[in-house]
Amino acid sequence: MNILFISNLYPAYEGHSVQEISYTLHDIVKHWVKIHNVVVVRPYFVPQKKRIHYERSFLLDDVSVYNLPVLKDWWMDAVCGEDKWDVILIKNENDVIIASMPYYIRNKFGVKIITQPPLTQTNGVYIKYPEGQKLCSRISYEKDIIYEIDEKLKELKIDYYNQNFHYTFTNWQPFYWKGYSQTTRYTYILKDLSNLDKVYGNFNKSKRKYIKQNEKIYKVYKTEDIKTFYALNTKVFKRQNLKIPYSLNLIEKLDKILLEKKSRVIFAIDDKNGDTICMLYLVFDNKSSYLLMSGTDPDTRDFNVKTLLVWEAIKFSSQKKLIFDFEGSMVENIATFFKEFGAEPTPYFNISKTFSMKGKVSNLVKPIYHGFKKLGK
Amino acid sequence: MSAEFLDKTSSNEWNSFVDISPQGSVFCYYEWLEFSTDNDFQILVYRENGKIIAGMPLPFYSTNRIRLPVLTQKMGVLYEDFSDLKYTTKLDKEKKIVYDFIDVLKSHKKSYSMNFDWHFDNWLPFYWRGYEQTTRYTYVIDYNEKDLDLIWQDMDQKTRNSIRKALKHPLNVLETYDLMEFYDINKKTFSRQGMKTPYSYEYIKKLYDTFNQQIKIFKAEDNSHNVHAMNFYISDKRSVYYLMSGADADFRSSGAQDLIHWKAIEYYYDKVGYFDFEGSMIENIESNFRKFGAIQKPYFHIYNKSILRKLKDIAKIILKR
Repeated sequence: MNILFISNLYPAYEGHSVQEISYTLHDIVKHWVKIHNVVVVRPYFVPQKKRIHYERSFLLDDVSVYNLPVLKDWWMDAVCGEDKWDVILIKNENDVIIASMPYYIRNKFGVKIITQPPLTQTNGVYIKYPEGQKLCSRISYEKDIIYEIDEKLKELKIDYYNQNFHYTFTNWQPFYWKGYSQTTRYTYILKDLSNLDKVYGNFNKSKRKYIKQNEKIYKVYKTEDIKTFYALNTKVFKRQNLKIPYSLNLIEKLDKILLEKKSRVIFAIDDKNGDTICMLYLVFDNKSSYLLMSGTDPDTRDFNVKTLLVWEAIKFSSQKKLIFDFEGSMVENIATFFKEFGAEPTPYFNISKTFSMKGKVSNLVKPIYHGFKKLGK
Repeated sequence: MSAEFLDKTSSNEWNSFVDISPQGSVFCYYEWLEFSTDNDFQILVYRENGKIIAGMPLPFYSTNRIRLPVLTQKMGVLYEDFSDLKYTTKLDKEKKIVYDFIDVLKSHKKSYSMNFDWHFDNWLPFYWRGYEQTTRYTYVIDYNEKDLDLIWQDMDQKTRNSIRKALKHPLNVLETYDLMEFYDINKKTFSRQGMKTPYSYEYIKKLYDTFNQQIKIFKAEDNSHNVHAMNFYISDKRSVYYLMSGADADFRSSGAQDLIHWKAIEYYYDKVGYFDFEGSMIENIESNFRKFGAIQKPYFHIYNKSILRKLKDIAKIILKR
């Protein structure tokens, strides 16, 4: 038997833009596969942000392509470091992967925890459902998967688990039965960007007024300057007496790979003196764009300037026919800012469990510490 | 415009508001609060141009611990139907209202722990004021989505067989008005599981007398008049709720409970919009509802904990060890 293993040259999902060179390759491969009776296998990447693409196994040019799991994901590699993450895979009786759960594992002060990686909005469980599944079977299907995941988490001997789930995950009850806790958080989303006028019309009045008055004053441009971006961001955190939660090294690593994958764009605005006063870092795949990071120079007099960059990012996403995800924040001011763009709060789950006494104590110390700090004020 | 306590003379106005509010239910009626708290409650309302546009029932107001009375599924915050408003306007309005309500609770140092209707979909204002939340589920059949044939088809094979078996037995489902008979079988069900019945006969008698028109008790009996099971349902303008039940251990496998549910689903089909099984977070009970093809509806449990309470929790964990 001949096996052809396809790398990422082969389209990974329907509608994936294919370059001329791969067209040619496809054609050759298509005929060769038929004549020589070859089994075609393509890597099944651990779904991260691009979960949708990998949900279906599909037929391409009459060639059926088998998914082969590959425990590599460049996003997780970049944000966690290659050795600090792994994935739990759940297979059905035919050895086909039906669910996966990537996780970032850390050891802090001797406490072993699974938590959200930096700059990553969702991890959690991704489930592949059989077609035409009845609702009552769906829930027990989810239950079986989640119980198995719980078993595998126990084997990891962690002290504490805490992950954010994608907003399409809505049934956490099996986790509840296994002693997990849950709370609802929100991300802000603009789902339909097909009619930009309508999107713009849903911005609140002050946003529209600001854009109208300032569109001509400032010039929004694209940049590759990640160092300036990081410096600006550092300044923003510093002004609030906070430490920037990610290192330049991490950002550079992530940026390099995102650039390679053509999956990011950086927008910037300069003031009259040519100093960059606001920047926005947008990540995208073929479904959605994500406002990953942004920052406004705390010394600038115009704090609304970010509005122009968000508007630019929305226009950019509309051209690419994407959903715009603000990557929600539970911080009131930030949520208000997003809401003013007409974005809809979309709930997603935060699920956690304390596995050991160590995990409990380290978890409890935090709120008490903050509680006393509040009392002291 | 700000939050105020509802005056007793406005109880009818409140009830009409409950009827039109998407979050309203029988559990929020003035009379429900009266009976379930023994008159120890307040209702916070928010008026616009004199008209109530939001409300928050506060059971056991004198105790400082606002919590759900027995047999009460949900209360939470009720809004007028805001669906015609622009999204940002709706969010702003909800935030303003919730902040006003919370200000009252905080100034009177009331702790709060409550279930919300599943139409209440944004808890952020509570979060921003330091409250906590978790998601729970209720199981609902949406009559607007399915006719009876489809409901039957969507049910689990085992449940359908169990109903068929009960019909063949034959078991008859009929309405009963004998509350004492119901309480007896209900109590037996609890004691069989080593549990104390969480309410007294007087309590459900009060409930029954207050909401007589909205309550149906169905029982399933065989030809020798042995009662196999009984279910207690209560309805409002929107939904019917499965509130209590009881089954005779000797006839456990006769499928009586499933049959009563099915007959009740048929009975309420043209009367309300939703058949609500009143979710349970208990694993075995939940699977039962699921088998009727009911949809899982997530709802919010929202609560706040004082620092003292958090310290107590820690003490508990340490002592357990």
